Amino acid sequence: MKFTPRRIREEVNVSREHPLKEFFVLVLGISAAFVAAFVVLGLALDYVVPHIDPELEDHLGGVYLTFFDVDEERTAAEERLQVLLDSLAARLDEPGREYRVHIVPSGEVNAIALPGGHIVVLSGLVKGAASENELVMVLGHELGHYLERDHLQGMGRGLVLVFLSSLLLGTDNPLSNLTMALLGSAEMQFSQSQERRADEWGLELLLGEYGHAGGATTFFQRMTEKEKGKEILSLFSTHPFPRERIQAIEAEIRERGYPVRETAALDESLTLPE
Amino acid sequence: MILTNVETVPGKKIVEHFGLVQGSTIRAKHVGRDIMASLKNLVGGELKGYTQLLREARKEATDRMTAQANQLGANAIVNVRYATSSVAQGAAELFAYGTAVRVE
Amino acid sequence: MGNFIDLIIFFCLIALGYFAGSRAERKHYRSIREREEKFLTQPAVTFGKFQGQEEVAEARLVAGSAVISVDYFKRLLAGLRALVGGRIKSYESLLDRARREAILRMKEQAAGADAVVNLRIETTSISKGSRRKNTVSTVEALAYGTALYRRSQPGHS
Repeated sequence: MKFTPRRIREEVNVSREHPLKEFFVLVLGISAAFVAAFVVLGLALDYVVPHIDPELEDHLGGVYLTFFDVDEERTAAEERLQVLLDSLAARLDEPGREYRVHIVPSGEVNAIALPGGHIVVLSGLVKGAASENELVMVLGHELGHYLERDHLQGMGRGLVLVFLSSLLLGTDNPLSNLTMALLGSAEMQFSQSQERRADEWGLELLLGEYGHAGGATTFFQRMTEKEKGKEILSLFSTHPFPRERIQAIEAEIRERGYPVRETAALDESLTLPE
Repeated sequence: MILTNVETVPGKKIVEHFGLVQGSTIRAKHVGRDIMASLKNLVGGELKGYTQLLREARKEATDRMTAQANQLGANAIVNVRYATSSVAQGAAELFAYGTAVRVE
Repeated sequence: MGNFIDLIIFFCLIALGYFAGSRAERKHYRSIREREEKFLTQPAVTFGKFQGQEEVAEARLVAGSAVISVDYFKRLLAGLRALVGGRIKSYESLLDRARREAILRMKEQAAGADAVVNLRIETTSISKGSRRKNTVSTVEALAYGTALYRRSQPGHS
């Protein structure tokens, strides 16, 4: 049998398609699918969340609370804030609903409404407050979020994203870590309308407590004027659009003709050490 | 194109040969099949999704080998061998090789 | 901030992988084609039983192997493809190169032979092992066969 040497010209085993083209197609396709899944899950969540059992909500709240190093013992500052909070909650006419406030030591300035009626206030915010009215405004604002059931929604969306990203990207590469970091900040983000409604509640509760609207916007005004430090960054990423909100609150005070008087000084227990 | 995995094409005579021809393909399964397979691991039994995947891959590898043989002007491939290996997480590579010949 | 830097490094590695990797691959393929041209008259076949009637002075087992790895860009592309399913085009060249290189090295070992018969090719993947989701992307190809010499080679027993 003879052997006839011949050349194989066409490379059969390697595809001709340019790798960059395949790369872009895949990246776009997968991102689109990701976004679609997020939207669908978000909508499904919006539908389910309002029907969540209060007991389940309390349980979830407990879980979230463990993320913040919450001390079991109540400090004097926490007790004073709790007194203020209880006074506000009494006006809401929600029998059986208990609200607890916790102060967590942190350089950052922020307050978070967790499921189950737990309000976490970071000590940076307490230190940054100039009057009791300002703290009451913050507490009232957070209570407003509860009444609007905003807190569960924001959390749910964040969880969905974390779940999706870890499912698809795995948990070990820089891309997924970046996604999770972005999500961590977006978790508690409420929309502008949600913030506005919470502000309305805060204003009403402030008025009910002191009889005037002094101190409603001074805290946020101070924060926007301050240098953009890391502490402020977390506040504004979770409570966006500060200028618009300040203007809206001031507009409402003017329209309704609320009186504005001298604010009450901070109780000694609330002046925290550095 | 006649394919055999014995030394000759039974019933015919090999007139000339052209050397080695090979065809390979690498295929991945998508996440959905991954999840179904993990579930199947609990119950056991045939993973039909994978069987089909590998069958298609084998056909493709064979087609590529045949394409090479066609370029050489052969009309049969003898002593065909297959090899499967896993080269990436969740992907399998299928390789077919043989000797391209002309039979009469 | 740390995550941002990670991401930038990630993209730099991908770019490096893409450009340097494609260049290395093209160079390799060129070398492969040149050598295949050289060995065109020496066939490697999968015939098991020796077909020819010519006298054989010597028969020797010859083998050649190559371990080839892909660049970072191709690895990423394969990872993405593994989500969607289908043909992983970025690894095709990896295997093609490894096998052809292995066959060429085997032929180099069998220099002067008339033919290499009963060729077998084995491919294995070599993995890093530790991380679960790390895609394996190094492949070893081994090609071995029997080299037949019509005339006895000098220097061999």
